Amino acid sequence: MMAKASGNGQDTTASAPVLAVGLGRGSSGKSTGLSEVIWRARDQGRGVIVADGDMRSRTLSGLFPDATHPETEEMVDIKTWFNQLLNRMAREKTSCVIDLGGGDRALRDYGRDLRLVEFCQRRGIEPVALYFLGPEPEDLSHIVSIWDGGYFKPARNLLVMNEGTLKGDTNPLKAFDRTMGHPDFQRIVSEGAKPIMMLRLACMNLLKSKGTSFYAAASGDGESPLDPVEEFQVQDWLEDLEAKRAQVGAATWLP
Amino acid sequence: MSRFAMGKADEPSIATDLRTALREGAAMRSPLFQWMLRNHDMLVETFAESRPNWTRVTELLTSKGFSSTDGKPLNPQSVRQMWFRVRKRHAAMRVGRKPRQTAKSEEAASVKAHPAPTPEPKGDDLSPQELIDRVKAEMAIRSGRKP
Repeated sequence: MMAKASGNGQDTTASAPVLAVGLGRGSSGKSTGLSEVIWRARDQGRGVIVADGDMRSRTLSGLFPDATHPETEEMVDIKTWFNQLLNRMAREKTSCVIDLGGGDRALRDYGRDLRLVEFCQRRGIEPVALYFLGPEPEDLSHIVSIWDGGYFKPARNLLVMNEGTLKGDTNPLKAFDRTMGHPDFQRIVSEGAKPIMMLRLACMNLLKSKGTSFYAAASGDGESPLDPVEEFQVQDWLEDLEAKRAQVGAATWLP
Repeated sequence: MSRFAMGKADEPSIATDLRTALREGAAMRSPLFQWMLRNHDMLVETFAESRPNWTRVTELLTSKGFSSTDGKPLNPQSVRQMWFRVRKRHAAMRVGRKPRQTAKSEEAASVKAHPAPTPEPKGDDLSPQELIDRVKAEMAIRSGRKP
């Protein structure tokens, strides 16, 4: 069995359920990135609860019929829903991927009621924060406010700089240079967050329109499989993403 | 290496035992995985000609006597996943063979948008600045600059 580090840095076994929280502004590719994480787990035969707290886009709900979501956008409903999710995780020992929308406020308010990371540690759940960001200063300031807020600060934090957020043929280095040179970004990395770049997938819009699992598409599966070029692009994109997560030791963090 | 260990390493029986152990280790993989790996090129060609209907593929493989490692019936999803793993394994084996290729073929192989991962220091081994520099270097390549 693969050894894994726990939220408090101690080693446990791979069977521990994972709470993967997606964080980032709208249009940062968060829902897309989270759907990849969900399909990855399911493709490898692991169950995962899909929790869609992004009441405006409802992207995960559209892709996963079994996704749960709060009844309304009201904070009291979000908190009730989050409680139910955590209780289910603890009872069923099942991982969960949660999209909180632009939900730093929800997380902050929830953090006042429950010390989330400590709860996870007590219940044998591995918390991981998956930050998605584009090149805009607001993308960085959003994650800095969550980081510095401290209401969800597990030991495992992945910073995914999404090349797919760039418009047209924008130069990625130029676009992200300001972000990566920012003292706050460097501080977050120095405090343990692992930065990677998620490449742009040329056929992403096609895949989204089909609603097909990335992994099924890469295997030539599904009712309307991709053409060979697009299938290869998806395979390449997935392999690149997996290799980068492995390089920073984050592949084993995921559900 | 100690003189004792060097002497032991020269014994032909150790090489024989090692071969046997490796064969036994390979045999622990499911027969279907091994069959797919052996027939990788043929399967790629077949699936390129006509898209795999995994339900039919699974029915055929079951009729030929294949089952899961624990003896349970195959299901289309697990067969598809296994094929995906076989392709990754096959690709990894090809990468492992690279050093035996000629310099010219290596040069040709390196012309790829996203090179296959090669052993690199893990993120845990790198300093924060090195982690950032690595991402910057990748972005520079993506931006058309030489590394």
